[in-house]
Formats: sequence, C-alpha cells, structure tokens
Amino acid sequence: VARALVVDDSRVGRLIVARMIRNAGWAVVEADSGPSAMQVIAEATPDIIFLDLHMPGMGGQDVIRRIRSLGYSVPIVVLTADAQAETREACARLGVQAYLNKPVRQAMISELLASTPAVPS
Amino acid sequence: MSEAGIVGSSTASRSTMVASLCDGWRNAESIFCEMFELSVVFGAPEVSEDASLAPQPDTLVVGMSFDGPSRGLAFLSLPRASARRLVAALLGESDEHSDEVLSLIATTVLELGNVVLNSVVAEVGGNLGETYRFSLPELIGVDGIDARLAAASERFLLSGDACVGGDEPVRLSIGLILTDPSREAHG
Repeated sequence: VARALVVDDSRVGRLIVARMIRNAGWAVVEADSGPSAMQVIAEATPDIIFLDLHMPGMGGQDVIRRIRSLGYSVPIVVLTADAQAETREACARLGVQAYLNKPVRQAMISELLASTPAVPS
Repeated sequence: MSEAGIVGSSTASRSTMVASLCDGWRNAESIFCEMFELSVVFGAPEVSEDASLAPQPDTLVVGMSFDGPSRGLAFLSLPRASARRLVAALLGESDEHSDEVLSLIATTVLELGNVVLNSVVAEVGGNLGETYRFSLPELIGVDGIDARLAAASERFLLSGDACVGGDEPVRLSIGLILTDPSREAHG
C-alpha cells in the first residue's frame, strides 16, 4: 500500500487529512513537527508528503528546503490556510507538487493521490 | 434562522470588510461540511448593527493579529458548549465529556479559526491590493477581545447560527478589529 506522510502541528488537522488519505486507499504516517517529519522520512520513505506551512520552530518551507538538500525527490503537497499569493509563489519556487488551501476536500485529496505514483520500495 | 450583524464601522472600506467576513462565513460552512464531514446548515448571515454581538462569557475565542497597511486582529468565537459538541461530532463520539473530546477542543477551535481567519485576512488584502503579515492563531480571553473592541478604530463583527444535525445551533462569530496606531502610541 502506498504511504503518505502528514505533517501538521495540529492534531485535528492531521486527523482530518489522514482520514481523507485513508479513504483514498493509502496508508498514513504522521508527524507533528518539522524535525519529527525529517525522522519519519528517513525511516518510513513516504511516497508523498502533505505538509502544513505554519508550525512553531521549523516551518514548512524550512522542511521543504531540508528535504531537498538531503536529496529526497518525494512529491510534497503544501496544505495550508495561508491564502496569500506570495506564500504560494515562494512554495512554487521550492518545487512543491501542489499547494492546496484549507479547507481541503476529499475530492482534492483523492484526485491528487490518484495521479501520484507510489515509489517502489 | 440565522441572525448576524455588523457592529460599528465608518469608512468606505466597510463593504470590503463585510464581504471578507461573509467569505469567512462561507469558508466556515465548507470546513464543517467538507473537512469535518458534518451535516450542517448555515443560515444566510444578515447584516445589522447590534452591539450585543461581542463574545459572551464562556466563549472560546481564536485571534490572529495582522500587520501591514492596516493592523489589527481577526477573531472567531463560539460557545464552549458548542465547541464540545462540535468535537464530539467530529470524532463520532457520543460522550461530549470524554477525555478525548475534552483534549481536542482547543486544537479544533484553533484549526477552525486558522482556516477561517486566514481566508478573511487574505480576502481583505486581496480586495484592497494589500499584503499582510499575520501571527499564528491563538486562544485569547473574552476580556481581551472586549478591550480590543472598545479601543478599536473600526470594528466589524458578523455572527450567526450553524445547525449541526438536530442539536442546538452553534453560535459562531467572526470579527475584524482595526487598530488606530496613534491610539496605540499614546496608550
């Protein structure tokens, strides 16, 4: 089963997105912070990452830079309430696969996952 | 039947603020329906002046400060009992007072406020062609909101009911408080 990593400091935020991902037939691992996400990425090799931007400490954009600097090419989907164009553009420059504004919908997640090939383990 | 109102206001930006709050109202409905997967009916918000719309005691308030060409605070509030019912419905939990429900109240209200308030501030910025920096959402006391409302140069407050299932309506308020920098400078 393909596996998605959900990174969000909000437990409810993770709960909601994880439920949508499972509904789409994927397995889910979760992380509640940037450093925790880096550890999970090293150990669990997710096929896609759903990443919140505004987290205390290591923010989402820092996580993206860190992931890419370590050579991981895993697709990253930003999930955020931040609807400002300049934030979206900054994430596009960092090479994210998609930038989804909350509130997210099941159809958005399902369509995105359907177009995401799982990485052979 | 929904009741909503705008408190105060004075400038030509009033329509922008009202439109932004209404956008936040629609986003709140979308969150309830599509993120929380709850069967919910939001009434169309009415706009009228009513000073009693400020958050009541035993209300949870999420605030998000913003700063740019204008500065101030966007906030969302709902009664604590409504928040408890909301979390129980979200978890499919019959006991509103279970440990899990109680432990998730704050984070659920913060998530709701995060999405709604970001959309409101972004809408204001988009309509006015301005960019704002804003803080992470945080829970703040009703007293703090009352003080900010009293000291505001302009304040816009929309409040209405959302019916979740057959339960008592959830009373939601969304507000924008604009701060006069000269008042801040002189206390």
